[in-house]
Amino acid sequence: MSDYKSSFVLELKKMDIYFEKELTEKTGRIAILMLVLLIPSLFVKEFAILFLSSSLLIHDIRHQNAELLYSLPFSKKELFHFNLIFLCFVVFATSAFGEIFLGDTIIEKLEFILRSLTLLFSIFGIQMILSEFNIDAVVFSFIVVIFDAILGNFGTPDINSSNFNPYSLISFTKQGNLAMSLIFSILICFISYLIYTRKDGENPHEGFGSNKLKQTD
Amino acid sequence: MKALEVINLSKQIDGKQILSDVSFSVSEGEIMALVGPNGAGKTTTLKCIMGITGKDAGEIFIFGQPFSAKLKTDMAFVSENRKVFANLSLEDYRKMYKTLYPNWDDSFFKNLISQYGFNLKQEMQKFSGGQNTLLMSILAFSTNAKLVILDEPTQHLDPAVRFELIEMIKEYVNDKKGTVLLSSHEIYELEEYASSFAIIKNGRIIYTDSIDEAKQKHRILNINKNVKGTKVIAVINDEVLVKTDEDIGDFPRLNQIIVGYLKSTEENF
Repeated sequence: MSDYKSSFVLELKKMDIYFEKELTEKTGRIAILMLVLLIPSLFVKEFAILFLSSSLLIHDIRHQNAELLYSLPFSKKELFHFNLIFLCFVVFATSAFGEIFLGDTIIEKLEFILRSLTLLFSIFGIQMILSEFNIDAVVFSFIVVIFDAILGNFGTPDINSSNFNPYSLISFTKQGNLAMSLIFSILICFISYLIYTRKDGENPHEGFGSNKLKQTD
Repeated sequence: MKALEVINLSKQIDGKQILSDVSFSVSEGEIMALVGPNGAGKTTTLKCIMGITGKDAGEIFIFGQPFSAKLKTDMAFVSENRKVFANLSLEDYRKMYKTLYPNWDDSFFKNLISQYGFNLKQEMQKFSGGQNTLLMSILAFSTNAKLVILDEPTQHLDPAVRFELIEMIKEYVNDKKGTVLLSSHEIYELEEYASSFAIIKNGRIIYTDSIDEAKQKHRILNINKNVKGTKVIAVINDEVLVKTDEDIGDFPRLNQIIVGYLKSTEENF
């Protein structure tokens, strides 16, 4: 029991030092995007989340700085969790803060927070998947978001309508059905977790294909 | 006990075979040098050992255990490119390392920092290349990690800093009973501090031994001398490096052994 407790405390300390490192390294970008996230509009949040998510671990992977983290006693699982926890906290806090000033009911406030988190899970997941396959996560996640918006806005999420579009139920931008789109987003995020933690590095024999390492010597 | 054991490590990058069945081991308390020309696969080997990049095949054991992220608290790494986190000061680095490494030696770190007159508040990226190498090495040795891995530690260093770093490596092994694996192509200085070596060429280990054993097993003969009964490794200018049990010719220097094997066209010895 005490072993479990001490390893939990160590995890918290590692998370704290990781957050501190990210905030010191990327202060300006994170502060500006947090301010933008305060705007209570899902459309604006979509873009803010796109840029905020790509400013953390994805930025390090893209610029080959992630090796600095991998050479330290951080596991890939920890890095993924720390990023997701940080982003969830920021999106939750800014959404909740924005909702204080709006006269909606508690249910509506909660719904808005969940919609913001749905956006986060899918965007973060898509960017992680793209970056693991050495594809520009910022540019292509933007394209995926637009593609999702186009696909989700065809027809209607009303199952009884002749124009029914099942994708609009799970689309993370349209969010025709909040529960289904949230589950779909969590699934994207989970797939990205599996790819990130199993490709290269720590579980190398369960690899998912090509390696983005450049030979340096 | 083996601090590190690498067995049949293989790695492809973009379809090119970078490492092919690389096998070697490092005993506890040893300073092992991985030597070879540029592009031989030294950095890739070290990155595979640290788990920075995945391996395609093979096994890596750290103190008898298969590599896992948990073991990284017993391993410290200094990379070749000396990249650092932007905007982080030396003090930020100290704090980070202190949190991440349970055996962190703060007094050792502070003594060295004050000895060299480094400013803790200065951003890491603003130190010169040589200072950066020295600082990253000080950080690595302060972790008290049982295994320290250094990628080209003395590259581009001025003689004074190079001397200090070599002394630090020797002290770490002698006083703290640590183990060091380093890569280098500065073969003339290795004899000063390394105890064993492995020669890597085209992603394959072509020879590995302790320095003393290697010298015992090889001889330098004049090119006109009869080499019958010996295994010729390579011709180096007007001399021949041979492997033999007989007490003939002169004992080679480490750099002659390394150059001989690197010049040799044969890959399996």
